[in-house]
Order: sequence, then C-alpha cells, then structure tokens
Amino acid sequence: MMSRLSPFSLVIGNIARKPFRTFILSSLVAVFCMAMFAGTVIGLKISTGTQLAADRLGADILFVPYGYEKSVQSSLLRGEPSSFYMDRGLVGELRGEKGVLRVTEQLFLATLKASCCSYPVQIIGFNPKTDFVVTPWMNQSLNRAMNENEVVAGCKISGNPGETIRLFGREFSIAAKLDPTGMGFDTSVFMEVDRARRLLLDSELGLLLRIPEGLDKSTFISSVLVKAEPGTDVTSLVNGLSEKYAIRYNLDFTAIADMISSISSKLSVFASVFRMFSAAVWVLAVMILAFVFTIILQERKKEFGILRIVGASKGHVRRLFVGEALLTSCMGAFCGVVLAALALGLFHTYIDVTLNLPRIGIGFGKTLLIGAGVFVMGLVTGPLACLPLLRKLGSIDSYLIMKEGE
Amino acid sequence: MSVLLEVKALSKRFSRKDSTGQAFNAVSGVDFLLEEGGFLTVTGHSGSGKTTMLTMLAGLITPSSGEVLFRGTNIFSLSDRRLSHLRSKEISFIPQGAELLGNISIYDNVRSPQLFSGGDAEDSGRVDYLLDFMGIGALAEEYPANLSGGEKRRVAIARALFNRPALILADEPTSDLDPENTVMILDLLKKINAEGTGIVMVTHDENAAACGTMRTCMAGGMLEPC
Amino acid sequence: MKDKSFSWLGGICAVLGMLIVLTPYCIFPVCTKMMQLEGGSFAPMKCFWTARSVLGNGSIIILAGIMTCLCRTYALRAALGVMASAAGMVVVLTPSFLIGVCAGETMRCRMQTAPSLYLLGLLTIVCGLALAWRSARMARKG
Repeated sequence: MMSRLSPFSLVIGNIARKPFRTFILSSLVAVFCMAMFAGTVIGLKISTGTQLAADRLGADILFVPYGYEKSVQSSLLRGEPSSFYMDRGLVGELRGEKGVLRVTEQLFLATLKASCCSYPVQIIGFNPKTDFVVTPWMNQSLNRAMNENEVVAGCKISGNPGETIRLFGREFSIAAKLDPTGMGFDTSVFMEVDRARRLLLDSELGLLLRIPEGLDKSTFISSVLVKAEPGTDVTSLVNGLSEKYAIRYNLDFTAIADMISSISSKLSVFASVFRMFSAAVWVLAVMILAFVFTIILQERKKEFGILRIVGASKGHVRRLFVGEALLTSCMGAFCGVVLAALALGLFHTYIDVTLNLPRIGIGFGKTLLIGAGVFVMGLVTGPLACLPLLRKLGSIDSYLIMKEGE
Repeated sequence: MSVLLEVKALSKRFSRKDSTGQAFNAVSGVDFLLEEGGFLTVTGHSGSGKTTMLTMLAGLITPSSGEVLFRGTNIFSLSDRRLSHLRSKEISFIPQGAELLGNISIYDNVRSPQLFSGGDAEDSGRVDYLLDFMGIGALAEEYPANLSGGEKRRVAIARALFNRPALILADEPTSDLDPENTVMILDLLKKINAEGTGIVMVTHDENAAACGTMRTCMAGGMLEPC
Repeated sequence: MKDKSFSWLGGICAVLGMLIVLTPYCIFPVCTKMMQLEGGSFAPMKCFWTARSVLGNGSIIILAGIMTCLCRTYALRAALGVMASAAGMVVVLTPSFLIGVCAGETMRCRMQTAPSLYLLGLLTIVCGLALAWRSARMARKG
C-alpha cells in the first residue's frame, strides 16, 4: 500500500525531477554559507587570538637589538624562531627609572633546521626571579621550579611531560606542557636563562650563531621587557626611555599595546573584507534566486493552474512554491556549512600559516553556534528571494494560466 | 429530483488588449439548471465563451456578474479556501488538453486531489480501481511525458473521479483524439453519469454533444437553443 | 534518467580516485628525502609509505568508478559502491592511523597532504554509499 500523498512529497518530486536546476540554486546558497562561515570563524579567531596575545605578553614595553623588531614580532606572534643578542646592562639601569614597575630579560635561541623533517624550535630563556611574562601562566602547568635538565614546552612541541627533547645536542626532560596561546609560545621551549646561555656557548652549533663582538658572553640577552607602574602614560615612558637608552645600547623599542593593535587592525581589515564579501555574495544569491524563481514561475503557470483545479487554494500554491525554495536553500545551506567546517577544520594549520592568523581554535561550542546561525541565514535566502513573487502567484487567474499554457 | 447546479445571469467581461482597449463580453447572461445526475452538453464554435463559462462554474475565475449556486450555495460567496476545498471534493474539472502534474507519477496524479482534501488508507484501493476502470492500470508508475494524448485524457478523468464528486465539468474532453479514443471517453462519461454524477460538458463536436440528456448551444457568449 | 545518475556517480567516484592518486605526488607532494635511522642507514619516512598506500587505494576507487559506468547490473553496481566506500575509508585511515605522516604541525604532509586525503576519502565514502544505496533500491524495484 502506498503512503499518503502530501504537499511535501510533491515538493520533493518537483525538486528531484530537476536535478541540475536544483544543484545550481543550492550551490548559490552553499557558496554564500561557506563564505559567511569562514569569514565569521576567521574573524573570531583574530579577535580571540589578539586578545589572548595581549593578555599573555603582560609587558608594556619591549626592547630588542636595533633591526630586530620584526624578528621578535614574528617569533612572539607566529613562532618563527630567531636569535639576536644585546647587553644585559640595560636591565639594571631600567629598574631605577621612574614609572617602571618591573623589568625582566629573555634570551632567544633558534635551533637549526637539520633535515627536511626537523624544524627549528625557539628556545626562550627567562629569569625565574624577575620574570612576569611567562611565569604566571607557566605556573598553571608547573607549580615548582625547573631543575637543570628540565624544560617547559609549548603545546605544539612534540613530546609529553616526562619524555625527552634534544636541543643543541643535549637531552632535556619535558617538565610540563603549556596551554595553547595561539602565539609563538606554542612552538617554543622555555628554560632558565643562564642554562640557555650555557647551552648555546657549549654547543658546536652555537659557534654558527654570531654573537656580536664586545658582548659579555656570560650575561648577554636578547630582549628586555618592562612593566609600567599603574597610571603611567606608556607612550611618554617609551619616549623617555628610548631617548635615554636607544642609541647607547643600539636598540629598537616597541610599546606592546601598539604592536598588538597594529597587527590586530591589519587582520581585522582582512576579516572585514571577508565579511563584506560574504554579504555581497548573499545579496547576489538572493538576486539571482529571485530572477530564477521568476522564470520558474512563468514556466510553471500551467502546473499551478492544475493545482488550483484539483483543489489547491492560493495559500496552498504559495506554500508549495515557498516550500521548494526552502528545501533548495536548506540543502545548499547544509552543504555549505558542512563543507566550510570540514575545510577549515582539516586545513586550519595551512590557513593560519598562509594568512598569518593566530594559531588558536575558537572552541567547538562557538563553531556550532556560528554554523547554526549561518545555516539559518542560508535557509531563509530562498524564501526571501521568492517573497516578491508570492503576491503575483496568488493573483493570477487560473483560467488565464491555462489559456497561456495552451 | 433536487437541483445540483443553478446558474443565474452569469456574465464575464474582458478588456481586449488591443489599441481600442474596448471591453467585450465573453459570457453574457447565462442561465440554466442542472439536476442531480443530469448531463448537459454545450456546443459552439471556438471563441463562443464555452470554456470561460465552464471555468466560472468551477469557481476558477470570478464572474463580472451573476451567481453560480451549487446545491443552493453561491460558490462565489465562499472564501478561496472553502471554494478550493469544494473543488477538491465535490466539483471536478477536466481541462482542455488534459493537463497533468509532470513531476509525479500517474498513480500520484490520480490521487492528487488527496493533497488538499485529506484522505485515508482506503484511497490506495480507489486509485487502482480507477486506473483499471480507465484501462490504464499498467501505467501507474509512468510519468506523464511518456503517455499518449488519449492516455493522458483518461488519467485526467480518473483524477476527476478520485473523490467521487457530485459534478464533473469537462472542457472538450474528446478534442484532438482519434475516433476510437473518442468513443471510449464518451462511453466512460455516460457510464459515470449513469452512476449518478452530474456532468456539464462543452464541445464543438456534434456527435459528442448527442451524449447528454440535455443539450444547448452557445454563441457570442449567450446560450441559445440548438 | 536512472542510468544517467549512475554514470554521474561513477564519474564522480573515478574523479575522486584520480585526485587521491595525484594528491601525495603532484598536488600536495610528500617529502621524498630519506631519514637516518639509529644504525646509520637511511629509510623513507611515513609520508612516503602513506603516499604509496593511497596510490593503490585510489586506483581501486578509479576502477570502481569506471566499472560503475560500464556495467548494467544493479547488484554489481551496489558491490562496486561498497568497494569504493571501503577504499575511501582506508584512504582516511592511512595518514591518520594505519601509517601516518610526519609529526611536525607545519610539515607539508601534515598541513596539506593529510587533510586533503581526509576530505577526498570522506567524499569517496559518501559517493560510494550513495551508489550502493541507489543500486540496491533500483534492484529491489526490479
């Protein structure tokens, strides 16, 4: 016995018998949903990542050797390892300055790329006594002091706590792994600064990393981080300190907040462009769908006339027409969201590296919410496109429809 | 015998789409009565207003003036929804050209009035009966594009009979058919009428017109004796 | 109409198989260099063997696609669909579980090759299942 015929089965039949047209219309909606989903997720990654970076860095001012400002940015934000050195004398002098609350030093070392399957790792040496950048969130993973042969590794370093890692020919035990930061810290290894310095000087490879003449080999560092006193105008402090020390120590200096906001605004422009593109695609999709539905309406006048003959009211005919548009949009929205989620999920590293995005996820819950929102937007595209036609659909005389069809 | 259909002073005016913009009366002052189980044939040349009149009897277009009373109820006083429901249950229309819904099977075409009138499990047996009654039982799974003109006409009649209507309005049911199919369709209509269904059939074929129990002619939008 | 849909599915299957074969060698090539073992000898890396494995599986999927277009029996088409799905499943499992790729997150094989194979494998599974389901349905209708 056959199941009861329903308007839904009529809608399914109409769509199934025109597979190419259905495919094209669904694809329009799918493209919009893909663009919107990708743009929203990327935008959220950027804002989450930059906020996290600002929180993680903790410092207000960063001093590095002259010419290495870009290198330290690349290292901190994207994990591109680099090595650069300066004199430690600045640390003591900065401590005495008005407006300066805390000062600490860091040493940056990069391992070399030994083969096509090894990759350089950033070693960051820090001073546990004075550090205020790394220690606060390191304590979340390790609440004791590291010993001589231990390191703390970023979340993307291969190896688990207790396993060993080989750096500059020496074996170190991984004491703890850090939570994801979306920054260069994820691909960095942290150790005590004096240990890092000895590691470099003792290794054969260390000879290849040029340490400038005149630097004290027992105390050289890579950067100095400064935390300003609450209420201090950071810009004035930066200007004052740079005037005093930049030339003497041959330094570049950065206000961290400016660095973050500069990067954030560049990425935000990108995210905005993506969103505008998505909006443009949506408008185009609605217009093209409206055009195609107009043609479909003309083509199917006879069919609507027959439906009226077998007892369809004007409301029934409208609902059938909108139902087809809704189902077409539904298929397109579903495929678009699923394909975009798959592509972003599978290729997230490639996308992050190519577009220089923060390498951090936004969480499953938020992704699901965005997917649901984009799906709903895609779902309404079809019905929205055929709204202007509904009045026309209801007002056409069936007799005229039949006559036109002859 | 009770009155099934009463038509009073039915008229329809159209504006011609030419340079004069003049109005013309496609149907003018049509009056007639049809009793339960009656069979009325209306003959006339093309353009005499037969199809326009029939379409108004089905409630598919609104008249410029006049009434159509189905079992005492003026169908144009009903809402579109109630009138449509009446069309799915009580009044069936067989359009000229026997148009079918192209994207569903013949089986589903026959039971398509069920979409808007509701229905139950018994209806599946009804479809099989009607298809066999029309001699097209083997075509149930086919689609309209694969059928001949005569076969489509029979499907349209089967569809019209699905909900056991009280009245069938047939517009040129034998046009473009060969003599063999013409005889078959007319015999079917006579058989249906014999079972108690009222029929109003418009045709320009004199032989088909002789099938009815009452006959009238139409010219210039007005009914006149033949 | 019925035969056209099988030709489409078979064609899509064959194209997916072709892409699977080409991905680790042309589109997103894996490393060709050798790694040095403890004893001093050299051996190909995991990604090399993954590429070899998906070459075989991709060829099976191409064959299933072509045969779908050529054969006329619904039962055989259903079997080819199941075969293509199974091969697609192996394509997904090879870089993730069965063999693997390099560990480094930004290695080309992990960043590009493996995700491409996951996507193509998934699409092949869907295509194969659709083919099997449609063939079984047509076979039941007789």
